[in-house]
Amino acid sequence: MPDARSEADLGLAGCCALVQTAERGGFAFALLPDMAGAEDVDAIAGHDRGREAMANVAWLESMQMVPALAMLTSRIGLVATASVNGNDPFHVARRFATIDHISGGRAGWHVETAQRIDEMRNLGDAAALEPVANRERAAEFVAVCAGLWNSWDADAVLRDRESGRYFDPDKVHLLNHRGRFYSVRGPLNVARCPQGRPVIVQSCHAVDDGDLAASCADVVLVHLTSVESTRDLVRDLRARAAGCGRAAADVKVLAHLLPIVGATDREAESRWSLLQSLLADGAGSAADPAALSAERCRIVCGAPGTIADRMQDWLEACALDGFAIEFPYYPAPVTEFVDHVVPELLRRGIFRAGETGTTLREQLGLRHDGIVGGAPTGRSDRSTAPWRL
Amino acid sequence: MARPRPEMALAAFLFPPGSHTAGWRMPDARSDGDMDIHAYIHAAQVAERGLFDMLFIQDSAAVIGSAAMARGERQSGTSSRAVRLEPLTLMSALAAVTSRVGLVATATTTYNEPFHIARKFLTLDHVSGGRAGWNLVTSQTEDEAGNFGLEQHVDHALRYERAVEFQEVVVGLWDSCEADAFLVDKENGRYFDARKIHRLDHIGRFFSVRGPLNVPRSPQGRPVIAQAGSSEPGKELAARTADVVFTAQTTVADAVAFYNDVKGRMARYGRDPDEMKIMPGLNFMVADSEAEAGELYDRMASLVPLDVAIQSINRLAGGIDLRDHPLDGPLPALPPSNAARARQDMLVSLARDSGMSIRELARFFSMGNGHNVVYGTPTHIADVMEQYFVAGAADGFTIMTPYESAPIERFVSRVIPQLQRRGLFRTAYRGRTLREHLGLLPPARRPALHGPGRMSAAG
Repeated sequence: MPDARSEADLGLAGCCALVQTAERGGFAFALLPDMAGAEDVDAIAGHDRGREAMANVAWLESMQMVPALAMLTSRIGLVATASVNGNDPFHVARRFATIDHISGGRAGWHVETAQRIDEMRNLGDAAALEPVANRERAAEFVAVCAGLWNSWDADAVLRDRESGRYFDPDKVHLLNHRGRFYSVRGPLNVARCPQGRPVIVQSCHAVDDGDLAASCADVVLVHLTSVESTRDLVRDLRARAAGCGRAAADVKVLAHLLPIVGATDREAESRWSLLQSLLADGAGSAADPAALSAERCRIVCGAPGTIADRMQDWLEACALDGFAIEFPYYPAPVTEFVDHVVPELLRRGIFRAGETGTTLREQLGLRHDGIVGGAPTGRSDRSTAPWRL
Repeated sequence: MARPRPEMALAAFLFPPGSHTAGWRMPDARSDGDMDIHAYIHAAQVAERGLFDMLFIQDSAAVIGSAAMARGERQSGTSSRAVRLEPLTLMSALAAVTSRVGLVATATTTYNEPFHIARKFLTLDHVSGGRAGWNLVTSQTEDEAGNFGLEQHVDHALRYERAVEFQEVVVGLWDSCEADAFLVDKENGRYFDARKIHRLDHIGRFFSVRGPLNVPRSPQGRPVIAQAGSSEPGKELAARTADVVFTAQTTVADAVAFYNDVKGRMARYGRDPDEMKIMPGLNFMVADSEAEAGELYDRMASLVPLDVAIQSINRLAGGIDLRDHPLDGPLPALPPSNAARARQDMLVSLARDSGMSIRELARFFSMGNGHNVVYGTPTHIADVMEQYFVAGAADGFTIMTPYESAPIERFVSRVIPQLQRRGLFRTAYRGRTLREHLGLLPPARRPALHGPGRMSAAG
């Protein structure tokens, strides 16, 4: 598209402008997807012209972007992606707790559990785990992070100049985790974060993913397939969450949505046609860029009112808590959505912008620390994870 | 050795809550220097006002003393090295609120993956407009091992072998994308030229990394690499790869010897001595008079609880517990340390040369972690710096504020002008990137050293 800029091209300034626009539009959070490696590396090496058409070859790492964005925004949540594969839970826990402190309690962790071949080859190239083992590992990874985030009680750090006591040793807790995949002693060397722990976001593409999401995710991202199957998926997720001792309000389910906005329905349709033709031109034999694949993300074309109507339909029919809005390119569609669709959502009373809290948890209407069972500062059993599958 | 540039380089060292382990107890110290982003922002802005080449933040991936906690040893809670913000994350935030000062974060090669490190630092480089630097260290504390699945920490020699390979992989990855790889040719639907993006295909003893790194080329050619090891393999690695070397030196003679030793090794790697800046640490307090400086020294020394001071050298004692020995007596013979070998050597030679007792050594070390300590008037501090610089003992200094933030503010307002008047330090930033500040040209992109299945040579 003539006015489009790629993510790498945008840099911090460009990305910041998008996030600030979203903040102006009252979005609860901005989520930056990520991967430790370019996709389809073989096509790059083969100098595949179709691969050269796709911009997803170089961009900026989400966990390093988010702290900078935190300095340049004040209300919007900031969710960076980190994979449980090829990472250390201690590092991940440390970084997200740090982002939470820096942002004043607006941090979220998009937990990536997929074993992506292009990424694995950059991180030691171990053989992929069987899906069951991969899910176990993901669950253990998240549990270790959760345990580490509980290392310091809220009032553990004293900094008492008179006595010289920097902290109260009785309020700092070793983790002493020894599991199938990880062995982590702790404590974390970051004080308790403003939200108690960062918001955990997980994608649930298939029923199999549901266990981890139901047991520990604050926000679950789903795809809109048919009304019936989406409604069933959402219902199933909430039931499983209840089975883990979680309240209905503990889990927010958002559906991916890619709106193509036009002044009129017809204009939106022709815009969509243009996008598809550009894609067909460049793609050649390579895979479709994920964002524009109809299978991957529900696309809604229309005037702002049409889009708002469809969103309302989906929201009510599937008992969703909201949407994860994706954009066909940057930056114009973000501004268009905020300027034209958000007012329609506000008018329908299905969206409430404005300050509802300072932390991301509060904005999402989640309990303050999200710890299942027991007070945040007192746990009887510190050596096991708060969640169980 | 002829000095091509008359100006020294300066780094502002951040070691939360201050380089002096008990400086936080001073009445004018910030109490939030470990966890509050505003304290760090202030430190960064003071350094930038002072025209420092860079901020440099130390790190350890553990609560200091956690191994002892795990053994059930009673903790007094007096150690200030307990919580802090993670450095790489922090530096991205500081990038957003500064515009010139370099941002050098420590990241260990012992408990990280090179692909992640390459990616994070190159992203920081973009976020900051070319001001990123990586302080490459190996992990030397027992505390960290337990957070990464190990019973005890990695042996010294093995750590360095891994560090050598790690660094090779990171630098190779930073070369993945050529500067003009991104065409953004909308007309022809061609975003990038695949011939200008290179896989690494590294297969080595420790790492298997295919690449390419999915981040565009650095705005400064390549992030700056700093190192701090003073052991044999540390010096060799530095000579081969470091742009900046941090070191602890407490006399001009020792500093000159170290300087000549390290720079003398560079030719072997096809490097010119000017391609590296050696910047020894300097703990300080700015006083109005010599008498006041002496009082400040005694006062700061007295703030350190004895057990904390002893702990600061106990970790270098090679396994013995110094508390079992008379504290006002001499340092006993020490078994070799698996922790900081060079620091242990320095402790031993300092003990021998100064005749300090265990108690006095503990005080000195806890006041500066083994680095030089100079409390004095602005003139005196500038004199010491000039002396080292002119003697060929240093290309600059790593300025270690004992606590935040009055001392470093005083340094900026009173010592920097002295250095500027003497023509020893810049009066304005001339460039935008860290390489420009340091006068280090970006390295030419290395020709393809890595082919499929190439085995990495160590050392």
